[in-house]
Order: sequence, then structure tokens, then C-alpha cells
Amino acid sequence: MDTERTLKALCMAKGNSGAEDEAAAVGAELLAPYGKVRRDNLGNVICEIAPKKNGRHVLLDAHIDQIALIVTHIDENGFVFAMNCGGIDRRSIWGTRVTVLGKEGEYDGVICSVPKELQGDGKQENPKPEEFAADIGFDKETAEKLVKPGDRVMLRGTWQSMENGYVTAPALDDRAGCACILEALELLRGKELPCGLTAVFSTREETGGEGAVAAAAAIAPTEALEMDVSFGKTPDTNEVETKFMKKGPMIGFAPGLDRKMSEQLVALAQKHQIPWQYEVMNGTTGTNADDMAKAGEGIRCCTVSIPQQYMHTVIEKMAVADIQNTGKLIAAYVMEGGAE
Amino acid sequence: MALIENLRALSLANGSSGDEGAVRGAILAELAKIPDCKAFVDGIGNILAEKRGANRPQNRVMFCARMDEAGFIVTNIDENGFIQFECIGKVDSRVVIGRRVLIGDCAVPALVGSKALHLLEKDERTSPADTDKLYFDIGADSKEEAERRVHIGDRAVFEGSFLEFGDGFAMGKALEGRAGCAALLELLSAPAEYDFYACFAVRKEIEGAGCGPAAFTLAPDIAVVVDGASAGDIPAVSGDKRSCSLGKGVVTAFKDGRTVYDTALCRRLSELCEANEIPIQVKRNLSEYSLGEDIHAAAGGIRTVCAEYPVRYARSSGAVLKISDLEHEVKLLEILSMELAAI
Repeated sequence: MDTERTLKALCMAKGNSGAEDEAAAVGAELLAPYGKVRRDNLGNVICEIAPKKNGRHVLLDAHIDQIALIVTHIDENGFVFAMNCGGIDRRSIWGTRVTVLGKEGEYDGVICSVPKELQGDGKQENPKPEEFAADIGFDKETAEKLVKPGDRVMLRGTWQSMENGYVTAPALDDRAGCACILEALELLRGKELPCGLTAVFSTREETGGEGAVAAAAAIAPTEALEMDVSFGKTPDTNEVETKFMKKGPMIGFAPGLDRKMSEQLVALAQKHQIPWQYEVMNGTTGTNADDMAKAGEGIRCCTVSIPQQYMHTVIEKMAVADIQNTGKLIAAYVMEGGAE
Repeated sequence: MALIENLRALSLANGSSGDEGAVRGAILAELAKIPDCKAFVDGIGNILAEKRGANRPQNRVMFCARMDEAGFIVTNIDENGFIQFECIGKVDSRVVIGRRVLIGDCAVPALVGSKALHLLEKDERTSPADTDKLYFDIGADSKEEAERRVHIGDRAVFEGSFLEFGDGFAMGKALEGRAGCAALLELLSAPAEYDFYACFAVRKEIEGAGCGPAAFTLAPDIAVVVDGASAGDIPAVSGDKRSCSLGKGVVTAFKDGRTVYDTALCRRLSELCEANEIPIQVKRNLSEYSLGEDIHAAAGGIRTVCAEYPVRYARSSGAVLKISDLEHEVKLLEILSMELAAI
């Protein structure tokens, strides 16, 4: 599999929480070679690779949605006000290129910022979600015809294959997780699987994680692996809150995760000489694993996270090698894992 | 249309204050195509152009735009290959985090990084970051590797992308200054009634504009400032800070920072706009540095007038202007080149 090509196709597709159709369609097409693909009531893309066997059934989940804004109203001068739909970095939203997805068409613009000479004298604050406004270059009357409350505003960025095997793009969170699953499925292609296997590209993670819960409850796997991005080291962070780029998948250890699965993933990484790192969390994980664990009769879960820098901006950055190594580890887990 | 094509090309050209070479090159190439126009570059990099008209003027008139844009200068490369920088010009950190920049003469693409929002302390979420806490990331894995591609002292600018959008609007970096350069090229391209001069100045963003020496050299009787006025017709701006608006035509002022414009010329400019149906607005934010400051105190004093155009979101990766305002600007400059010559 050409990892970068797959990743680019996934990242360039638009899919905000609850409005994932374009990205889901790309995901469904990429999953099609590996099994029967369907979409459920919440829009989750579900691919059954192998039916349940010997009681063991593995669910691989990554989320297909990305952060964006949702239109609330248009002001008297035609500026389109839109609040966050997912966690937006208040420090980086000003000056972001955007596209408003209207019913009839798409409208380019930019998030309004205030240059220093026009700022008041008081203490400056980062803009609040209710202050996010897009300038799309239309007066109120025209803007109200083209754009309606509830329309999504996509944050635009550039795909770039960087030096040293890094890539940068918006929506790597969590299309990179989807790419990890596709990597694993490619490695497993043609092999006789010892268990049932379902892959899910789930919806609505950025707004709460309801997609994965609904899918997990319906699939009722014996165990689930969650592939989401996590924090890669930057100069302004320490080595407890972040892990290193290019040093492999981060295996989760947390109260809400299954300890045996965590340990088995470590053992498999060591056995197959796949680089890996600890990701120890003292509470919830901030991923779909938190709620999937509570789905249906309860599901044993573990996170296999991929290091990412500049999360929730349009310059998210990752190492292709980390994605490939994550794919290898989860393929090994499907074949050899399964804590009883 | 030449105006928009020049606007696009000049917006995409990279040139922070003191590093205007690429912009200068693009403008000189355009000037070379214009008949009856001679241009030379002075000691600090200003382009001075002389347009020959059909007649000799009573007054020497100089129109002055500026070539530079806000940007960044590399100050240090850390042990892991992250690049520290300072801003050139009054850039707000809130339009810098999460953007892409191009560093140095080879235009090395870089990301402006900061830690993920999930890891911010409460105060960091609400208070704007200091720009000196941010860094460029070129994807280097070590200091040595970064040093092969980027050097301390290298300049950087926002990565450009020019876009026409909405109802006759344009978006791009550096439009606040470069739109004036495009307007001057348009003025110089047309046959002139009288001789006049044009200056494309360096270094405005550091408030040490090159137009002072240019004014000294050309010693005009009258100077016209052709620059972007910061438009405050945007949400979260109130009172006098709303200053001027897009779509309401050219912008003039009686005062700007330490510049006091020539009152009689200001009035004449307003009359000419009215007579020629050019919409004009008087800006309300009067505290900023203007090119006029260095011009009007040069060469024994020069009567100076402000003929600007409104631009939103100055010093960001996506400044916005309305194309009709710039067209009005060009029309006004053409009228001024005739009227001021014999005033």
C-alpha cells in the first residue's frame, strides 16, 4: 500500500462530525477490497473482514470525522458566525482559510482577525467560539441566501510531503488512524484469520464519540483496538505529556483500558521488533476507547496511538513510519493476540 | 486584467522589510515594459521611476507605494532542529500559530508550531501567546540538519495564496502594501499628460520607510501616499477603530501618527473625488505610522497628501481588499497626476 497516497486521499476529503459523507465515501472505497462495507444509522463505515470465529472477534476503530465550525448566524455586514464543532485551538483560528459548505455551493473565505492597530487598549484575549466569524465577501442579503445556520465551515490547509518522511495536512486527526487500519488489512490480506474481524471508520468522535459506541454495541466484539492520534514532542512540552515522533505507536496503559491487551501489544511489538512507546494515562484516554468500553455488555479495549504534532490545527504533522509501524502492530495483534 | 494580474504576482512575491529583492525584481520587470518610463534603484533599495508625459509640470509630483511586507527573522536553531524567530513588523501571534511560512532565499516551507491545545494551561488558552515562544518546523530531525537548510538571520514570510472570492474581493498576503504597487504600475502604464515620479519604497513595516531618502533624491513639490489603510469594518472592532470600510472607495486622512498632511491638498483631493464620482472616506484611526512621516520631513519639507485604499486583516496570511476600491484608487491617481502638476 502506498501509505502517503492513501493518507492524502483521506485527508483531502471533507468530513466534519455529523457530516462525514465525503470522507466516509473515500474511506468506504479504500475498505472495499478487504470486505463487505456498509454504513449504519450514524454514518459509521463498517467493513466486515471475517465473521466471528472461535468466539473471538476483534474490532479495529479509527474516527473519520474532523474538526470544523458550524454556522450559527450571519451579522448585519454579511460576516458568517460559526462556532466550533470539535475542539478548536482559539490561538490559531484567526486568519485561517475556510470554505463554507452551503447547500447549493461552496464559498471560500477567511476567519476574521483584528490587526494590532485596531485592537482596543484592554488586555487581549484569544477569540471565543461565539466570536469566530468568516469573511466570505458577500453582503448580508446575499450571504443569507447562500449560507444557512447549520452549514459547516471547513478549515483549509495544505497537504505536503515534508522532509524526512513527515507529512502535514489538516484532518490527519484521525484519517491517519484510518490509514493504520488499512495498512493492517493489507498486511492481513490473503491470510487465514484466527478470529472475526471488523473495521470501523467511526463518525462524531470530535463531538463526543457516539459513532463508535453505536457501532461497537452492534458489532459486539470481544476486544477493540482504538487507533487515534496522540501528542508528539514539541519544544514547549515535556516527556510526560508527549512522546517522540518516529519512535513508533504509543501503547496505552490506563484504568479504563484492558491491562492484558496493553501487555500483549507490548510483547508483540518486542517479538516483531516494531518500535513502540508507553502512553500512560491516569484516567480516561480522550479517545473512542473510553465509551466503547461501556458499549453493549462491555468491551475490552486498548489504544494504539500515533504521535502527532500540532493537533487540531490545519498543520497537523506526522511521520509516515509511525503509521506503518502502527499498522504492523495491529496486524500482529489480530493474528496472535487475544487475551482470554 | 493587468491590475489583478499584477496584484496576484506581487502578493505571491516574497519580501519582508529589508529583504525586498524579489518584489523589486518583479516590479522592475514590469517597469521595463512601460513606454516613457525610466527607473533606477537607489542605495537602500527603493525603486525610483520617472514617467515622461506630454507636458512639463509646474509641480514635481511623487507617488509613493511600498514594496515590503511583515515577516519574520530567524534568531536561533535549537538542539532538535526547531527554529526560533522574531517578527518583523507588528504581527499578532494569533495570525501566526498554525500557519505555513517560507524561510530564506530557497523558500524552505515550514510550519509555525505550538503545543496542542489539549496541553495548554487555562491561562494559555485565553491569553495570546508570545511570538517568541513559537517556532518554525521544517521537518528536520536534528540541529545539524536544520542548519543545512536554514541560517540564523534568514527572513521568512507567510506562504502566499491569492484568491478572488465573494462579490469582487481578493485575498492574499501583503496586499496592504503591494496593492499600492499594482496601482502605481497601472498609473505608469497609461500615457501621461505631465511628467511625474513614482517611488516603490522599502522598509515600511519597521517604521523606517525608505521613502525619506527617495523624497530627498527626487525632491518633489508634492507627494502622494499610496498605501493600504487598515479597514476596521469587521466584527469585534468598535468606535474610531472601525476607521474605514471596504467597498466605500479611496481613503484619505488629515493626520496619521506624526504625519500632518497638507490641509489644502486634502481638501483638493476630496473635491476631485466628488467631481469625478470617486467614492472617498476619511479614516478615523489616526495614530499609525505612515509613509508620509518620512516623506514630508525630507528635502526641506514636502507637501504630502494621503490617497490610500482600505484593506482588512493587514499583516496576516490572508489580507482582504475589494477590487472596486483599488480601481477607484487607480482612477484617483490618474486624476491627481494631471491636477497636482499644475495646482
